[in-house]
Amino acid sequence: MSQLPRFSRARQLTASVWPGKVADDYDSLVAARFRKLAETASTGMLPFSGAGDGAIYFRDGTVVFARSTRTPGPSEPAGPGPAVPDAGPAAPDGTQPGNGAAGLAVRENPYTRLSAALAVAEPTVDATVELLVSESRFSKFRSVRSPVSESGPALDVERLLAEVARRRRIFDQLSPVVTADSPVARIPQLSGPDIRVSALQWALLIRTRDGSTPRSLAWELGRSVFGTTLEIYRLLALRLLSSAGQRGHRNGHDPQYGPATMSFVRAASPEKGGPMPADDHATRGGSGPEA
Amino acid sequence: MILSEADTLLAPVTQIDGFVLACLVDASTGMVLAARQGRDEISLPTAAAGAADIAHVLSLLAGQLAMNEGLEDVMVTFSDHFHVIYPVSPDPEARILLLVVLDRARTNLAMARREIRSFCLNFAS
Repeated sequence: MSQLPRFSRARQLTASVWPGKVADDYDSLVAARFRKLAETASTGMLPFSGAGDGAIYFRDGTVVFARSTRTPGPSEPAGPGPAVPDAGPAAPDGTQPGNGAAGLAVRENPYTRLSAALAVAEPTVDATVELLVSESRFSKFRSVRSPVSESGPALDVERLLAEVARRRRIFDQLSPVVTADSPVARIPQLSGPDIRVSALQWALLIRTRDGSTPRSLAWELGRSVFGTTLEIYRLLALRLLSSAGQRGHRNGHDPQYGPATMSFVRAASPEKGGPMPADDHATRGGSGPEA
Repeated sequence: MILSEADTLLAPVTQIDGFVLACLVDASTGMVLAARQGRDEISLPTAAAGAADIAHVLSLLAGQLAMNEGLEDVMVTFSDHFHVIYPVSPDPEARILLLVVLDRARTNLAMARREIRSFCLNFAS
């Protein structure tokens, strides 16, 4: 009989199934489940429960929708575009999501179609990130009808996993300064004589009160938690908000909010040994000699 | 990335002389929405992320300078490539960016800029 502990022996036995991965790695298990559903062109729902409840909906092996109790769902589009399901779950405090990007879709053109697709895809990616970050348990896949119309956006599993990994790396970059659940507060005195903010940043500023967090503000505005956290970071960098209780404050120093703190490029170039982002996002074509 | 018709959306841009790659990026999140690549010499995720980072830095600059004007385009010149970033959103607070990477040796920048501008106008009208 082997002298190895049972758990280590199980790892050894399953190492060949996922080379280079630890057998009990949650991310590997989820990725393997997603890939299996993609390979079998499955249609239905993968329910999640635990730290974050929700579900991911598949149609013919692609992800068409995801919902989480911790992220706002899509808003109803105001014009042409893919049908979206019910306005999504209410926030823990009962707040209903407000108007998101879907409100832009008024006149049919490539931009409105892209905006309408984004109005479903962004909450889907946002909910998927939340479900996977919280390591919610997934249970048996159920065959149910897709909650979105056939014309809605369909996300390739590999690309979705790459996007989830990218967002997690950005959350890691931001974590010393702000997280989705960090309380933020308005700074009463402006640091400069004049400043300019976008309409979204203004909407966030006027809603920020005691105890506001990027997540609670995302629910109020009906926008993604990831996008709202990034926008809050930009307001921190402009010194219009402060993030109470963050590491820098605790050490008696101002936290560093420079543009280098958050970098999409760094998030696209993972450290050695980490999973590489999918590099085949593009459709081949064009006038290049190798095309 | 998210639109099944992404191929056709970006097809006109691929006809520009010296085309290397093009993608539509959500500037607020850095997510690639659609992409086409003619040649493999440049990593698409990294180039797209660079365009989103540039937009992020420019938004901080515009905020700090209190500039009351919108971004028209950004052109980055490397020794071998041009990176042209153009907002395709009709509203001044651009959310969706077009990035086009061109081979510098095979591109007439003025013509390319004109074609990209025309594409963006048609895209949102």
